[in-house]
Amino acid sequence: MAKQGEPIITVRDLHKWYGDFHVLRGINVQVAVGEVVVICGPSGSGKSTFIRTINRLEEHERGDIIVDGIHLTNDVRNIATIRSEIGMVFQSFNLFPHLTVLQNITLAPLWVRKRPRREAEKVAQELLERVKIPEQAHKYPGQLSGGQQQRVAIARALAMQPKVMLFDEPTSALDPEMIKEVLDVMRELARSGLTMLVVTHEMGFAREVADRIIFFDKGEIVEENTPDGFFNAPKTDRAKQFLANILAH
Amino acid sequence: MTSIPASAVTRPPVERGALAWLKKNLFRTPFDSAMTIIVLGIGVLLLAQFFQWAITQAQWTVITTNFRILLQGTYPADQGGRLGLSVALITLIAGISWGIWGKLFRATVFAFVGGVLIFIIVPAAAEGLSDAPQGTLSAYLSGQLAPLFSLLREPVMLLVGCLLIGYAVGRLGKRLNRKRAGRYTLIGWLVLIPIVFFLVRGFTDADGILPFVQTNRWGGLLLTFMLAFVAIVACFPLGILLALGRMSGGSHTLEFKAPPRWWLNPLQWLHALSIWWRNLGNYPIIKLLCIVYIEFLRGVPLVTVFFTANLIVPLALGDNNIDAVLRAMVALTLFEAAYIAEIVRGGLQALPPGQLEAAKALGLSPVQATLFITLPQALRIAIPTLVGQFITMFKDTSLVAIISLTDLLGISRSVLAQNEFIGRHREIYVFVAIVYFVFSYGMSYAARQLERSGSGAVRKLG
Repeated sequence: MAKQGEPIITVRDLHKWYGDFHVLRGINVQVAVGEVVVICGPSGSGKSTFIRTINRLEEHERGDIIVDGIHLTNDVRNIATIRSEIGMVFQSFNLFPHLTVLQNITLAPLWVRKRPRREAEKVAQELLERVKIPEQAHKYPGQLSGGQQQRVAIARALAMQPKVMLFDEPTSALDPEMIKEVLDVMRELARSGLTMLVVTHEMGFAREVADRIIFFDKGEIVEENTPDGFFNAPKTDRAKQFLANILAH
Repeated sequence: MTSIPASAVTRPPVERGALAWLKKNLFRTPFDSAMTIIVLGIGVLLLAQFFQWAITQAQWTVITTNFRILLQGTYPADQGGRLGLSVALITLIAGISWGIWGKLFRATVFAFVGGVLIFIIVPAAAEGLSDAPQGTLSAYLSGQLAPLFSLLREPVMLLVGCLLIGYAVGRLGKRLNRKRAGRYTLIGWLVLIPIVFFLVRGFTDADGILPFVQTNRWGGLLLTFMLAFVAIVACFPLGILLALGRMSGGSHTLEFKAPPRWWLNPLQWLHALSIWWRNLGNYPIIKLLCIVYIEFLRGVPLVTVFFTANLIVPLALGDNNIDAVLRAMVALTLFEAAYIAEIVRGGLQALPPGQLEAAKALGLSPVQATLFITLPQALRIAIPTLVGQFITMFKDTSLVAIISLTDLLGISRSVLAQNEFIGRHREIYVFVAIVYFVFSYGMSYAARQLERSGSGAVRKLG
């Protein structure tokens, strides 16, 4: 187990193709324990694909991904270990609609971690309190609002006590009013010292919470900077143009 | 302009009632009216013809005389109680399921009460007419229809009675503890399947409690039911496996890192074997086999499968005395599994890909993800189509008449071969059609209830 400040994710010269399309062109990233990294960039720039390679939802064709000392290869045992150490939150929530909120959260702890049911349910209830919806435990996802569903999805990922959390545009499918409640939960997680990789368009959140901003374009990292540096004095013209476009509307 | 406050605005009156409905739906335009009258006229004419034949000309003695044979073939008459018990058990648990997951509509109650009353009233009324002079309608009623109705009375009362008792029990269970009642009922179905099979088949000597009844003595409705029952129960898991086989692939391959001279160590052999086994799902050959199987069996008529099974099953088992009913069951199971596989695959493909991604991201293994996440949702989506296929299967069993088994249709042909009933085709085929209809409609009605209760629908995705 890596200690505070030591690298937990190391990505070296990562390449990926969709057919002939070269989506990721040599990505090098290191993330330290406790760090909050926000990845932004125009759509189609490969930022979602990048974080999905980290838990093998997408296969990469070249380069190395090392998570907490485990090399991500074709070996299923490594993939299973890495997936149970990384939590993921999706844009479209992807809650299991045929299971209750509580069952959604306890499924993986029960069957992957082999925790006893009572303990798993206790942890789930605590997590629901942490994301501020303890009263919804026995409802089905379809009965909740979008913001509540996304908070359940966060609780579901946290229930595995992951070392790293990946967020793939967690607020993009939400109404403006619900974005805040999800961002509040994420702020609280960031403050608690969890290592987070967040793909988002919420620049206010990025400026406030991130330790580092990585700017993607056309499958490459164009700029890596501190939030202050990135928003006040971007080093590259592409980043300046991007910020001008999203802040102007 | 002053506007009226929204709270004071009233909704324009809506016409209600039967007359308004008729006007809106049947007589809206002159063309509609003409169509309504023509279609209704033709319908009434046809129905009148049928009923005129059914209650003044038809010789229903062909049914009443052969009633037992039509229902159970040459199944020993003194063992008939076993069949009655099986039917009672099944209707009872069907009624319980209905009480838990379904709803009782007023129309259904009327249909039941009306149905039961007809079977009580007609024979009773006929008794009063028994001295009517020859050749009158009354004489025909008491001579032809009354025996038929009084024969059917007991089976119908048994069915309806068990269904309603089951319904009451189901409602009670639902009120006490819905979740537990549902779970016990599902277990009940699972336990009932082998119980019914052994009850009908028997397993002891002739003087034991449940004497063994050879399958060549199964016939009529009993054979139809047993064929459909066994085939439905057996083809369902097989179909799911085929669907999963066809959808397989795309997961990661385990690598076997062989230490030097690994072949000297039996433990390494075991390790290699286990890796080979776990990788099996990735081999395209399994997928290919499933595709070939499904497409081949969907591409040939069921009758040819019956004929082929008649030849191949004895060859494959190296035993020429495999009974014909077993061959038919195997053929039907193998054939229908291909269709079930495609239906299940349709359900699996209808799922949003995010479901599997979320399961993987949580670290669930492929088997766990299938069992807990994708398969339950896919089966829910597929319920309407699955039930449709089961109904088709129930009716398809009539094709075994071609390989000279005596199911309901086959036995009606042998009944027609009796001297005294030659030419009574209409009566017997009308009877057979009604029996098929009642059970098929019952199944499709049950499926619709299941869907409406929400168990069949995928709960709203976010």
